[in-house]
Amino acid sequence: MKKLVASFLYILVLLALFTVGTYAWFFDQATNTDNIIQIGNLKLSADVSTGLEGFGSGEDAYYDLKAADLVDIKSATSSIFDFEGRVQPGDTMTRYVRIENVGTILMGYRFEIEVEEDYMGEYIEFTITPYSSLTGLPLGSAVTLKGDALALSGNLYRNELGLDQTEFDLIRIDLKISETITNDYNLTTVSESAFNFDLVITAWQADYPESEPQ
Amino acid sequence: MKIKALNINSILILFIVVSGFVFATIAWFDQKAEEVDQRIDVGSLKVSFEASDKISGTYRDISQESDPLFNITNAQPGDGPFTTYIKVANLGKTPMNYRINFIIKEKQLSSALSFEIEKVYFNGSNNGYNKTTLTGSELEIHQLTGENLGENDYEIYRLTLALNINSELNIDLSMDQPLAYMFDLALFGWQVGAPIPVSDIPYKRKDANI
Repeated sequence: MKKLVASFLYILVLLALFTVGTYAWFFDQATNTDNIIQIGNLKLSADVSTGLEGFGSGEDAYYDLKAADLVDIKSATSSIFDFEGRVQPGDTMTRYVRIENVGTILMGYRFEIEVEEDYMGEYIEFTITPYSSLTGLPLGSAVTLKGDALALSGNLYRNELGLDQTEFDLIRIDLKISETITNDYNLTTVSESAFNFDLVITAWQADYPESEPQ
Repeated sequence: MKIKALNINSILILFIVVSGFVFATIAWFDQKAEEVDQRIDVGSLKVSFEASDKISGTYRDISQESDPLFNITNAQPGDGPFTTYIKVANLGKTPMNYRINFIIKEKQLSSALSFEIEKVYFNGSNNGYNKTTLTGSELEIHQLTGENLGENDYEIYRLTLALNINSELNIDLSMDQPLAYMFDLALFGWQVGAPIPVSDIPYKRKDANI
């Protein structure tokens, strides 16, 4: 029995030798490692508040939306411009909107007003003013657009150059009922008609202007 | 008595093994003895693995870990296609067969990628390799092959990567974990006449990065 085991072991040794012989051919290899394709994403964050406030200090100081009144527009269930009743000439309402790129791809965006009911639109004024997050002051000049014009074009504001990852824009929107409104609207029986609009923010890949949705 | 028999057995088998080596050695010595002027130079087999953006451009060594063929981050719809040329050469003196395997390490974007591969310069015959288009999933079971490359012979492939990214892939992810597709290219060359390797990555070597 021991002889049998011993013979078997020798055969194994011989087989191992032959196997090593098989691998004695010339060969060489090279490997190019870690080729990678990673996808980015396009995500915007839109918040609104009634004002701006300063954060940080020194070189890290910046301005952002007033935290106490901050509302996420995406998840908000109520409108951001709500006069809570009927308006009169001279009424104004101011909102600050922050548009932030929370994705990874350079993001262009636009504000649009979709007017669902255009009543006294010629006396509704939207004034758009970009603000600096560094100084908390206006950047450039304000643009005023009337409700009836917006009912046709819809374009309120656009940033075609785009925001990079984590960058944000601060935009002040003033909505005013013009004092020039005539007594034609000062009716004995108040009208049930209204100026009714949606605020729509659309983002696209700024690197590819053709990707802007129409 | 048993021990003695075992020893005799051991000696006999050892003798056979040793004889094998001796005869082999003698065979080489005999050849030299018969033809005094004959010179036997040992051959060599050395693969070269390079890439370039243009077929006639300057090729760089891509067998280094720090120089992947594709390094595409933050990809978005509209990016690409990305084209690169890879060159396989035999720098040794021994005729060589080769194969290139794609080793997929991350598959999340498999369905969003397509690879068009064409052997655009070849040594004699293209070995039946026609232009092929593969998805990221199909790449794993594909291999590029070449036969009988002599000293300094080379073959060139064009790899074109197209991204088919749709809005379904625009998902919320932290920067640490973007959807990705990751792979290695493993080139293996072996001497013509040697047994054809049967596994995808044959002759695994201890120091091989595969």
